[in-house]
Amino acid sequence: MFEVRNITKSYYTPRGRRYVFRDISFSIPPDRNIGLIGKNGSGKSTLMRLLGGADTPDRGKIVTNKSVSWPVGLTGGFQGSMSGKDNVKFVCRVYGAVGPRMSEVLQYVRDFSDLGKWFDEPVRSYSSGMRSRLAFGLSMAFDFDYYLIDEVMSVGDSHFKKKSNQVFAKKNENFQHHLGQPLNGRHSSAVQLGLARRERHYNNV
Amino acid sequence: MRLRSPLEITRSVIFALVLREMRGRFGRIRLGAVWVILEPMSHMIVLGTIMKLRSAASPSYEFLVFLLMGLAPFLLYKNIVLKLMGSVEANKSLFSYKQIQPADAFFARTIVEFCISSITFLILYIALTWYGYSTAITDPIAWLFAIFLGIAFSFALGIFYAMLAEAIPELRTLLSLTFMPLYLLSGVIYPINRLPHSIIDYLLWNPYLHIIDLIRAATFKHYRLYPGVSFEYVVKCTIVASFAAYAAYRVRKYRLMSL
Repeated sequence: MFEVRNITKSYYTPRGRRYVFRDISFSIPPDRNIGLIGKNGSGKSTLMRLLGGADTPDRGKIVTNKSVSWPVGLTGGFQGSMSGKDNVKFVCRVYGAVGPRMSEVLQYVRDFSDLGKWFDEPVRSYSSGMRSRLAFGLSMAFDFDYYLIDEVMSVGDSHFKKKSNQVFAKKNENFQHHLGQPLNGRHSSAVQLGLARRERHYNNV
Repeated sequence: MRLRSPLEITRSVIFALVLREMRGRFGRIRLGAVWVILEPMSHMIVLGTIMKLRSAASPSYEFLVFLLMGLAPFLLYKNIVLKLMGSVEANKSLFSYKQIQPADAFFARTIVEFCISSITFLILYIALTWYGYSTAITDPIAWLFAIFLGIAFSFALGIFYAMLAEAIPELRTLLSLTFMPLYLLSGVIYPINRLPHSIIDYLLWNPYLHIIDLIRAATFKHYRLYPGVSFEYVVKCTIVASFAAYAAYRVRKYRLMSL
């Protein structure tokens, strides 16, 4: 359950202030997967950043009692000179997963991302696909109530795609959900207010 | 997931950032570790040689010890300020993790700089002692207090620089150059009482000059504190700078975090 109360969000540009949202309010019902659909630049990513707490509205409030992930597939936070393993450790520490929990996460990411020996190499030597796989595996290693996905399902080869769909199906059964921009608009039918609809399983992505 | 208190989160974020910074500094290039010792050492070697050749050493204290007591803190302060200035830019991509705030990066970098400088200082200090210089610190409490006051001031100044650099990126180079004149104007490499009094009246506006002089006065038994140099002035400067910096941070925080 998310409740968005009268939020206004604007950014400064060299040509002055640009408003992305002006006094919008809505609530997202619990137990739903949500897809955001809209034109480029209409504020989908901004809304996700706001829901995820990575950005703050100028005015208004976003209320939730659920845990929300960082944007799934976030690769910008990786430090190129550090190995994939060390980057995973960094996120573990930030999220308070230390001790045995950290080894668990490391094992999970190592298996899930299929990086093999590359897991211990510096991230700067990775291809962009490897980088996304690492990022995706890292997000899946943590149990959030909601996962924020920004057009990430396109990464990896068909084998990896199948694997990521499976993990999402499983998380859905555990009542964990995702908010995000679906890939290539396959969910663009039922649209309300630019927000979308219920999906039990996401396996047709 | 277990709920953590804000304090717990901040602590783990700062710890994670400190480890990350350390790794960034020493992980890939071994030269990183060499440079932190080499920087103050090269200053000391060059200036020590010049002073030796001019044989202008003061009888009441050893010049190299005098130099170390000015250089080590000054380089620490310089590094804190300049590292804080660059920290927002360097950690921008991390602010997508909502737990990580610019303030955490400030704290982490200050801690890293402090640890590195302390180790460097200890190595050089022990080396000088072992070589036979009289390195005893007369008033350790005042000495520590002066050093920490300098850190608090530099922390605030660094945050202020970070705000300025974020608002006007062109200022970045200019701001990092400010420590060149400060190096000369803070009495790091010479006792300030050698300068004409008419100039010193203006130089006394510089809090770093006070801090360096106070550190030296706490170290040497017969060091004469320059009239006008006082803890009071540094404390006032620190309070004003901290207030300005934290207020600016509060106003500009979300601008710092936005991509």
